[in-house]
Amino acid sequence: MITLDHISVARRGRALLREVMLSLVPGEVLALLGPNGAGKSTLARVAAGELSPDSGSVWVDGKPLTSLPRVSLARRRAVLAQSTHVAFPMSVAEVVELGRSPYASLASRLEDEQAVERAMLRAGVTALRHRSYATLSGGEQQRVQLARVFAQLDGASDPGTRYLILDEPTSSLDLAHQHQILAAVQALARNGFAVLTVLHDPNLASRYADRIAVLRDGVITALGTPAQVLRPATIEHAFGIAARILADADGSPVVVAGSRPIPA
Amino acid sequence: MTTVPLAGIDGSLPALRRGAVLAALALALGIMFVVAVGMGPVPISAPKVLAVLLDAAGLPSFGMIEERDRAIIMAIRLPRACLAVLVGAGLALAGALLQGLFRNPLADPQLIGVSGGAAFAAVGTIVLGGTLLIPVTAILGVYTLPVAAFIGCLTTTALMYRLSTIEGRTFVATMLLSGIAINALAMAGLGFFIFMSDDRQLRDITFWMMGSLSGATWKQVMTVAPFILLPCVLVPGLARALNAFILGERDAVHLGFDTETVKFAAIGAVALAVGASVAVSGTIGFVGLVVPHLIRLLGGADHRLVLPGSALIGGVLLLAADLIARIAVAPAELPIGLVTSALGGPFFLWLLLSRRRTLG
Repeated sequence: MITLDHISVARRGRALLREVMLSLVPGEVLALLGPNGAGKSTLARVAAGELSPDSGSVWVDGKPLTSLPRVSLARRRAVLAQSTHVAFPMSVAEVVELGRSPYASLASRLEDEQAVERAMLRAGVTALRHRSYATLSGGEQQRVQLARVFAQLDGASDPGTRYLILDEPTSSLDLAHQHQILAAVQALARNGFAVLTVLHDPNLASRYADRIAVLRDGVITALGTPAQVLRPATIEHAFGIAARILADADGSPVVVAGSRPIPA
Repeated sequence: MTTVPLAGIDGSLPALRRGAVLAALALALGIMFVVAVGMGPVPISAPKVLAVLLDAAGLPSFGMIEERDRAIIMAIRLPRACLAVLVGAGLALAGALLQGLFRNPLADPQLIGVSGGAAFAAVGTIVLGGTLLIPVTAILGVYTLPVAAFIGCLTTTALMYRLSTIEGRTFVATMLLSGIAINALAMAGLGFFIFMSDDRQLRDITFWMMGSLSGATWKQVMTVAPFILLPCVLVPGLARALNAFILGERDAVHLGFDTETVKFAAIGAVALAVGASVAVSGTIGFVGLVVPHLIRLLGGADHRLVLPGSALIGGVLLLAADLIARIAVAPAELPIGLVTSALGGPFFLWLLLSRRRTLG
């Protein structure tokens, strides 16, 4: 479990996060929703250990994040950014293989190769393995990076202590690929991994997240299951826009934003 | 341009293939070495060169050794060839490290002002060595120049990195333009030293401006060898981390690398290699730019190949350039910096043009 305890971050006199309390539980996908500048990415960066909070602390399985050795942390926690620029010509397989870096002293060549194969299969990029990364579309590149973080978390230890942190993983993807990526991430969570993801689209959060945290001005304004959180009042308060909630066939909420109230 | 066959992990044995490429390059270096030692005003055939080299190494040599050949090789050509290999390897390795660190294929010790910083410091010790710096030269002796060049190089590399990299992202335009600014500053400093130098110092300074391996001595070889061999031995340890740097500094952190230490070690290695190279041969341009590209074309971007491969190709390339410098206008000699610039300049332009769109 990753626990964020009273996290506050300020930059240039402006509070980005204020006393945020949040726990990430094994087996769940936790989505961070909120308008631009609400502090979603900042929160994800704090949870990833990329940014030290001005006050408060981050705990990983009962230990302070800062006390964990960086290599063993890298075997348990992977981070995926919005997009990744690869500086030199590399094949897809080589990029995915970089995810095995933390295992340089642990795993055998064969174990590494098998982990790379599994990761490429899971992210649906096996067919691209020989392609040069630079020639791929944005969506394909993001799937390759997803395969890379899958390979990074493919170790021998308990999946209940593995964490995946994603910052708007679907922002550059088309509709089908958005769902493909999030379905793969959700499958990972069903295997016991804990996933924290920043999302823009409430409907993607509704479909793939187990819990949703809504941020506004650095404060969590709503936290709960999609059905609990995705209500007209919550959406309007967070985004400042009117919204209607419909029910999908399975009963999950569908947000129709910007819609006028139906005249009586 | 992206050749995958040699890279990638699919069912192949990349470690073996890397080994094969490196072995082939080492062989090429050996052949080029024998050729370079054999060619000159007095041609010496390859078997005779080999015989002299084996004999000098204390191994049984087959065949007759003429004393004249031995004298020419041992006193003139061998130290020069050794120096060419060391300087070439040092500059190419530094180029590969800088490109990996800056995540940019346009980084080169001369282009970004690192060599200029080293030359400025080196010339400073020539001009001030007999006056202001007497206490320093008294302690460091023959190492004054390499140490000064090292410090000049270290300062400029660290400064360049600070200037052009923000939160782990290098801005190409900033990098190249800061390089111009730093070179201009170094040249201004050089000009000032030239202004206050006497005739003898002026001759020594001219040597730095041109870049040359002429008059190589065993003493020079012995002075720089440790500074260049040390990075060559230590740097392969950075290969995995630099591979992660290809994704960006943040991703390297998330993959478990101590990026601050990696940057510190890489900049230190660059400063050692370039400082030593500049101290004995002046500023020789473009080796650090061209060589890492050649090895990437040969076998992909994996730094486990790129770093040692660059050192080997750098040696081959500088041996060849020095050969051209020696025999093109014999009995006179071209400055080797001129040869490498004549070859590297067009290459740089081609590189810029092929990336014009991505550079913006």
